[in-house]
Amino acid sequence: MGLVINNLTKSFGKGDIETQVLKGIDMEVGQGELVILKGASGSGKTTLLSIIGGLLSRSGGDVSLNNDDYLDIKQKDLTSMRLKGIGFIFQSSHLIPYMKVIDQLAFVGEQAGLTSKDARQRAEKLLKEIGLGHRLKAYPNVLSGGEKQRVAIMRAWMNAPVMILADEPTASLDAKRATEVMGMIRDNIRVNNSVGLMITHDERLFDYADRIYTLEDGHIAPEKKNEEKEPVYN
Amino acid sequence: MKLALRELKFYKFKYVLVTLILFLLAFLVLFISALAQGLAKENASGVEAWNQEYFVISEGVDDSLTQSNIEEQLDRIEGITDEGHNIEFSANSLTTPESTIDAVFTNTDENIVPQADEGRLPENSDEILLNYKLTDEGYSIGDTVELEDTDVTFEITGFTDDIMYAHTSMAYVTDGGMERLDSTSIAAVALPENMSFISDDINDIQDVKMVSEDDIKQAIPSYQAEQQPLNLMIVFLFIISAIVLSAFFYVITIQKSSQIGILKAIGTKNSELVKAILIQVMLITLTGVVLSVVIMFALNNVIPVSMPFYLNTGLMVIVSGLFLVVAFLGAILSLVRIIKIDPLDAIGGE
Repeated sequence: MGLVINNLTKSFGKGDIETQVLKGIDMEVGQGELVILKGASGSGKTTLLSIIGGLLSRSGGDVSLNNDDYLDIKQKDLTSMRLKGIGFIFQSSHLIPYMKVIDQLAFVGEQAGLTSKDARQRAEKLLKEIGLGHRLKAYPNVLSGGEKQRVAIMRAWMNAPVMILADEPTASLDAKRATEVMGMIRDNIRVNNSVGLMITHDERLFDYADRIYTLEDGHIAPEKKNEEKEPVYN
Repeated sequence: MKLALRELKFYKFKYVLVTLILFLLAFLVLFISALAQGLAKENASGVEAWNQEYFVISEGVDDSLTQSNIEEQLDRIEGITDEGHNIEFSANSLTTPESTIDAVFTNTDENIVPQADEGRLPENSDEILLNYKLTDEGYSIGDTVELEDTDVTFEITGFTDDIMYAHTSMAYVTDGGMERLDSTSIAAVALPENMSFISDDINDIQDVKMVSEDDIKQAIPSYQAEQQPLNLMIVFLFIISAIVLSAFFYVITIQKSSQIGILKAIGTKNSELVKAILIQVMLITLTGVVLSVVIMFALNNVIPVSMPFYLNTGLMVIVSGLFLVVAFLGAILSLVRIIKIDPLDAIGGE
């Protein structure tokens, strides 16, 4: 169960200029687990994350989430899958500048079919949980970097996604904020029993991961277990 | 809907500026249309006021009523039909204390004379009904007007709006009144609709032909010369509006490409984004157009009667509708762009 990837490949270009970026990836992320994906620049981390998130097509291999081949559907359904099933957290918060904090979350809820009232209630609850109750009516331009990223993280959780995909979510934060945000992400994954996959270079954050995969030259390098904790395979 | 409105609200200044430009363009289009309509009225409203379909006039006078004289052929025309109305024409000048004004005299005979908007139609040979525009020269009911260089005078009994021929005001007098003028002629015989079947018989008469009301209007020398350039200006203003709108929304769309990528990545459907742009374009255009229509109506009340300016409600509705169509066309470029934006752009930073 969880996210299961078998022999995933991805090539760009055709013929002579074809370059294979992912050369047969095998990995698993269980439910309630936070897995960190690290690797040098250009190793294909973001490509891998984009494929898992349904933003990029794959060249070969199988990807399933809780035994569901969720990528093998029409483009339109994939958009809806991204909306309801996957929570994205980006490098910078990427909030919508013209929406108040509460609307950033409520909008995603409404898109997924919640009534305006329900969406606002849930948004308010989530934002209060992370201590942004006093910022509900603020626009992003008055928030600090940490506050923005916290809003972005809660936006990812708005529709109670099965899977959380994060691409260097702490890159724009100082060390104190980074650990704070990391703790929040991990706690949410545990509480909601979500599948969590995160790209990061920041070694200080490795402690938060259940496991760490290293991407090298299109392959997953031998697994490094975090502390002595035995990973949970379902 | 929310997406569109929130954005408009947040970037008020930006969108107010576009609305202002739209408003000015719409205002200019409506103003020029009103001017074109006003000029058309100054040329042809006298002909339209008769409300007749066909006219029998002299051949070889370029369909001009002022040059036409069919007195000699009148008996033969009446031999073919007795439904015609004889139209007498006489170009004269009226003396005012300050200047002289040209006026085309015609007869109140028959039932094709317009009603008096103010006062009443002339009943005696020394009474006259004038075009309303002449009130601007200081004339009012009860005043006496004098023909230039003569002792012939008429007493004004009323005014009617929109009776002009080729930029000259028309004056209605009785048949008896026409006889007091030096030079009068029967310029045409006006025929009501459904008379086209006699056109062959009429055209057989020497030096006479039967033409439509539209032919008479188009033949007025100033009519085409004024309408064509104005209509050209209107067409170009529409094209300019379309280009301004497309350019503006295209630039805005490019500016927020990454934002749209994010919205797509977190699962916003293309249809939602397209809808937002369309709502914005339509709202901005509608605001600009409605504002210009309101100002046009306000202006209509303060513009002097002597100015060729006429608000045609039907035409205003068409022009406003056209503006919405043009705005929609202008938005297409942005829509294509939005659909092409890849949500992948949102991932992996910039």
